[in-house]
This record gives sequence, C-alpha cells and structure tokens, in this order.
Amino acid sequence: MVFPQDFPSANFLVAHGIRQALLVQKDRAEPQDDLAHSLLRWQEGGIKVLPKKLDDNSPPSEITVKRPSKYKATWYRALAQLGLRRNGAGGFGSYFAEVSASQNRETLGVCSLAGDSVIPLSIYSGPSSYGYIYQASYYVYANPGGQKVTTAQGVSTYENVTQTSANYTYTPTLGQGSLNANSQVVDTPLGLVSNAPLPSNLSIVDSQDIGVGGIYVRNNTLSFTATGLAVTNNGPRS
Amino acid sequence: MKAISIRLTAALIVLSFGRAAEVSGQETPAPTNVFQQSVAGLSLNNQDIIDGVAMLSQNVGLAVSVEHELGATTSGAAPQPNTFTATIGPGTVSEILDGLCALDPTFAWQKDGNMVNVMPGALVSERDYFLNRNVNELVFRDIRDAQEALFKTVGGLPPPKEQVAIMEVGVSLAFARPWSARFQNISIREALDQIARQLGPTFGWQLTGAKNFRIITFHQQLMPKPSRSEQGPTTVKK
Repeated sequence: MVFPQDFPSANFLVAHGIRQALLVQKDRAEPQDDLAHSLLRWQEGGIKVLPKKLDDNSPPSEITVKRPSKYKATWYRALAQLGLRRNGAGGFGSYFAEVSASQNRETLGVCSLAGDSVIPLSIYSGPSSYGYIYQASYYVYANPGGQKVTTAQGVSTYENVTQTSANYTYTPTLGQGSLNANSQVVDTPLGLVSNAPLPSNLSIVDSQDIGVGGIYVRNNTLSFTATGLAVTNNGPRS
Repeated sequence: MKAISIRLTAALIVLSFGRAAEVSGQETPAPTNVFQQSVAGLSLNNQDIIDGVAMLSQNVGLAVSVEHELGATTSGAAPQPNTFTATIGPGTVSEILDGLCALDPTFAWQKDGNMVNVMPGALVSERDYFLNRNVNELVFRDIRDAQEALFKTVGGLPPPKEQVAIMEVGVSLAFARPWSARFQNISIREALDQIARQLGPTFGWQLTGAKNFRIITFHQQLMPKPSRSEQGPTTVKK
C-alpha cells in the first residue's frame, strides 16, 4: 500500500519542470485505489497522468484519475502518520532502485539502452554477394536508478526507421519485436548486401527510434557506407 | 533518493525527459476483400501520396509495397515526390487509392492479393524496367530468409544481369520456417510480393536507392511522414 506522503508533491514536481507521470502496470491501465490518492493530487496540481499496460504497444494517453474512496480523509492520512506504510528506508523514492533478478516486467518504465554491442556478422566480398550484415544489441537500464534490467524477456520492442539522406527516398517503417532471453534489444540484421559491388562513394543515413514496452527510448543514426555500418547513439530525442 | 517497497503491480515513473512513443495499431491480417472495405477520408497535410497510402495501410491492415522514383546515381539527390494538402474520401480502399493517384498521376497502383503495389505510372508498361522483367521458372527450396529469396529471384533472370541490393534494418528477414515454392513466368515485382507475404501478412517492400544502385528494403508496416508545413497547393475532396 502506498500513501501520498510517499511521493513528492505536485508543487515540487512542477517546480522541477516535471509535468507528466507515466504509470506502467502489467495487467491494467487504471491506477489501483491507494495509488489513485497520490495521482489525483498530482493531477489536481497540474501533472498529467498517462497509464500504460506493458503488453500494449499503443502510445499512452492522458487519463482523468477517478476520485478514490476516502480521498483526503483525515484518517487515511493518519494511517501513514502511524507508520504503517513506511519501511526502513522511508519516504518516497525510486522503485527502480529495487530492480533485481527477481524483478517483474512492470519495473520497466522510463529506461535507457546502453552497453551497445555492434558487431559484424557477415562480410561479403564477392563474387556473388557484396556488403555486410551487423548485429546491434543493447541492454536495458532502469531510469532513474541505473540498474540493468535482467528479467524482462518478451517485453515488446519497436523500431521506427526514417530517412535522413537526400540521395534516396524512403517511407518510414515500423518493425516490432521483443526483448530476448537476456532482456536485450537485439537488432538483427542491420546491413546492406548487393549482388554487385557497392559504390565506393555510397552513403546512406537513416534515423532509428527504438522503443521498449511501447515507450520511446532512444534514437540512433545509422550510416551505411561501402565498407560498413556505423551506429551513433543520439540518446533520447528532444 | 530512498527506496520504497510497493506491493502494487505497478511502477510509477516520473517523466522529465523524452516523450511517449508514437506507435500505430496492432498488426492485423487484412481481410480478403480489403480493397472493397469502406474507410473514412484521409487528409494529406503537405505530404506525398505514399504517406496517404501509409495512412490507409494503418487503417485497414493493407500490405503496401512502394517503388520510388530513382535518381541517376547514389551520389546525387533523389527525386522528391510531390506533396499535397488534400482530403481524399470517404470511400472504399480502391476509391481512396484511385483518388491518391489522381492527385499525383506520377504514381499508379496495382493490387496483388491483399497487397497494393504503388509505382511510377510511366514504368507500368515499361518492359525493360527491372521489376517488370519475368523469371520463367523460379524454384525456392528451403529458402531461409528474404535476402536469399531475393538474390535467387534476380539470379533467375535471363541476361542482362541486374544489380539489386537489400538493406536490412528494423525487422528480421528470416522466414518462420524454410520456404519451398515454385513459380512460373513471375515478374520480379510479383516475386517480391510473395517474399514479403512469406515474412508476414502486413509485410511489404520498397525499391529505393538510385538507378546505378537499386536497393530493396522489406518492412513490417509503413508509417506516414509527419506533415511538413501548413502550406499546400491543392485541396481535393472526392
């Protein structure tokens, strides 16, 4: 059970430039009753609340938090004052700080991808094929907290690829997948293979957005040249 | 920041950076009569008609393949499609596609099963156009992925040899199981449609690159490019 006192106030959040809260749950979108006490206070203070089910790839949209029973009732606050809720650490904080091997999928929320590994899988130098195929993989890190997520196998991922170069035309595409057994985003294949040699001056640049659990996480620049592929991490896109 | 223990199956995340992902709807197989399905009108806001086809694809689960106009070389700028501000429809999927191609007669469309092929109209009856060329007999035996299938297909053309490359990004090109099939008198375009279908019901492909270096990309779903500005030369209501 949680109480409003476990969380920072809406005023505090707004003062620090925070205007949205994303609620990520495994099996439902609506907040449970105890959490609704806190979220409604935030909403009344100008914080947008956006729920998200982990298995739903659609983007989160703002909800109006329903008024829970005993909202702002004195005795409800008193429960917290009696210390029924607080643990040894006390106070509000980062749920992500408890990410561990036993974590559940719902601990994924705002996260980052790091620990990049971009390796060539195949290099083709003729006579029937020319080019290369790479594999890029990323670990998922909880944010805030920074712990590597280790038990999120099967959580959905997506990639949105758009054109950057002016020397070819490309309509944006969407691809969907899921985290592998190591809770990694594995981007395979990434490559360019031709049945004739690649032009020496070839330069194709794409922008790649990667999301985990339906939540946008990071942007990469993919640069295809005659000799290989470069993946540049641009971090979250503003 | 201190930790808290929460028994809820929820994680509450404060969003201070980044933004929610923009992800389209779930993948759904297209019904067999998809071209007769009625749809609401779609609006282009300084977007090209391929963006319109992408919107249509998202609405009805239509698989889409696009042949872009190609520039002369990969070192030069690619031709840019015309953009429009217009409303097309409501109507059936076929009527919407007719409306889009009437808006920009540069392009024509054909249906192949539940897939729509959008191509430069001037090339539809061009016998020497790469994608119009026919393979007399195409035999796939335990083909594992789209790259292998593409090269096998193009390798089956009578002389002259045609260059083709496959750019792989954002989606796995491995078939669910090794694919064996036999086709007679099949065009490269039709073979590409078959390969895309083998990847999945919503898959399609794009021809891009340049005339001196053709590139095929396969995609799970097309996404419209964002509208570019408010100005637009045309308003059409069908």
